[in-house]
Amino acid sequence: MTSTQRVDLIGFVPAARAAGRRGAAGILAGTFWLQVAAVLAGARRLADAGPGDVAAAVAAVAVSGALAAWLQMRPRSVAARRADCLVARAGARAAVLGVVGLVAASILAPVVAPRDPLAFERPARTRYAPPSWEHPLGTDRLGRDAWSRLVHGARRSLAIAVAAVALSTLLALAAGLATAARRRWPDRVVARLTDGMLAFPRILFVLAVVALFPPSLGTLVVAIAATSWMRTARLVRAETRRLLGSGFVLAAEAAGAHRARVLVRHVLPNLASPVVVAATMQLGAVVLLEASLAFLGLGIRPPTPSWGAMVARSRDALTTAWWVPAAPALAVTLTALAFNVLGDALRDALDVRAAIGPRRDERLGLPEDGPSTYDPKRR
Amino acid sequence: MPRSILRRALDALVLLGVVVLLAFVLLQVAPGDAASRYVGGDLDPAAAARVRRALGLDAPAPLRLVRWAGALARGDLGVSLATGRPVREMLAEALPRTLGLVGVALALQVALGVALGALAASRAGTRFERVAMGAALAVFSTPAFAVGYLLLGTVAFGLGWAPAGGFASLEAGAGPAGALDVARHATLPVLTLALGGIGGWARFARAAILDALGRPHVVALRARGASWRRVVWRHGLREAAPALVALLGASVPALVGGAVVVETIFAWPGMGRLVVEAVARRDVPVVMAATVLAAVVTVAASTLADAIERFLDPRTELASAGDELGPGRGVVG
Repeated sequence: MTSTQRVDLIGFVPAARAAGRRGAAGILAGTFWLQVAAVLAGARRLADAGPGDVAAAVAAVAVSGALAAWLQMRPRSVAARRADCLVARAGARAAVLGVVGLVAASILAPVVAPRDPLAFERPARTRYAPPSWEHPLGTDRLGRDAWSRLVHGARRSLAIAVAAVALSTLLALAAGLATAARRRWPDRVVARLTDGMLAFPRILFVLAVVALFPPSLGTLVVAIAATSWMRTARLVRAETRRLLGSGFVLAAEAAGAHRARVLVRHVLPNLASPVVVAATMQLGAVVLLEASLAFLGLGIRPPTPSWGAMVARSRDALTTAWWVPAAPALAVTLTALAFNVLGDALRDALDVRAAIGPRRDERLGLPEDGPSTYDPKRR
Repeated sequence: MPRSILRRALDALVLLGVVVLLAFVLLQVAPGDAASRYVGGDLDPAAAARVRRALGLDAPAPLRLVRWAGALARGDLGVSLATGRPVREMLAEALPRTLGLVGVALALQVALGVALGALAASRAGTRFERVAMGAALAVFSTPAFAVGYLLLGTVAFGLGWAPAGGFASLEAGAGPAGALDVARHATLPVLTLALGGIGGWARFARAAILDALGRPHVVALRARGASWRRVVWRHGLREAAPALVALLGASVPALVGGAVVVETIFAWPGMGRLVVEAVARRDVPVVMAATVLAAVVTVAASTLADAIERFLDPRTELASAGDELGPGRGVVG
């Protein structure tokens, strides 16, 4: 009896194979095969192992196999199909991996980059040292470890981006919902304010705030959020208007639901997709904005590692140690690119018509341009 | 049509009012008043009161707003705290330089971006389209300072083909030689500023032209034997023109924002550098005046773009442009 057959006895080879490429089930199937490999590799030393170890290994294999099988049998939810849709595209997969890696690196910064990002190396020749085992990206103009500063800079960049985007999205939802629900003067006032702020270079607004207020992380986050809510607010307003005119809202109102309930229970859930896409795109833009501000030397105190500032401060090394400014510049670009690609992919994946699976007319075996083409109401 | 343009101009005036009001509110909310900023550090209460009276700060806030707005309307922008020069003079010197930079960069990025977008649209579904749009997104995600440093390191320091910074050489005189010298200094800043926007323009142009190509008259044109190239470049581009002009107005703020970074990299003595230096010195009158002036420029640009759009396509409703493009179109959004 081969090992494959033995595994098959427990019944999950077909499940794992079928699950192969799909979301959580795929991950579980992967860990399952890893465990099998580990068990086989450890088999030589199986004689040393006690019965408890063997039981634990078998239990682990069984549990993950069963979970994979269960996930596979279960009717797939809309969310799972959307996740599949997202992961199916190579670019999107790379972007997801990039974002996950970035978040992991910034959470585990002390592990990934154990050197102190603020510590100087004493001898003068360690300035702009080339990459080595000790300093994977070399050292900066003060002899500090460039890799450590890069990883710790990711923390700051991500923290500011996430905080500012969360705040601006909340602002946008409030402004958009309020103006869509109440048509008269709030709508006009907010519309004018939106136009005014959109017509204005946001970096100048943030500069003015930084000039007037004492520099701090909070000021920076609020200033960035205050200049990035307008587009999402317009989106929310337009979508809410559309949804308020739809049949299910009419039905809810006919059933006696008041405005607030309609907004919270019927409109808000339908806003999730466009708002998530807008927020993801906004993350990319805010990463760029924050880096540009730090490049200009604003909103940051010197020893703190920040990508923009790291580029600005190594101007004198452009020809002699180009990797010192290049690494943080590349980090900003790749981070923004990952968020933008992810936003693009999410927009495709969250488009409900595409994600629910084959359209009804396709399931019925009708050609795509079937009779429904003559339905004047169809887009 | 003149009436709708008039209405748009009125809107622009209201918009400017909003910006001035915002600037004033910002000044009021900020900690420390102009007197302490003017004199600096801590000063004894009697002197502070005297300065406050001299600057007219003892008046109630609405009155001060009216006075400030009145001074702005008369073109009196105050005096720089750092240099003692009238702010108006400083801005008059810097504004043309920035406008020149932004104007040339805008023309360049529109031409290149729209051409790339139209090429991608005409080859929709091919590998060329995927590669071009991927590249456009990558350029779109690159910060201006990265492009600037790349050009600085390679073209200026490495090859020595263009000066690394400044506005003009000392030895260059006036006349055509001087103009050529300024153009040489402007090469890298213009390239940096233009490159940043090409990605956004290409993506937008592709979407707008594809949208135009999906309309029924394109089928009719093809049926009558018009070549695909003619359909895309003549009819598709023409249909997409109003949307592109709308983006023209909407992209000026991003370009002005990008100019702040680019002028700092290349030591170009324009508005952006003026503002960054003023912020570093906490020179509030300069910052506020430059902010309001930038608002005037961008609002004027968007109003002009709106008027052109309406001229090209009289059906245009009173909607604002560029919504479908998503956030952050320009160098720094």
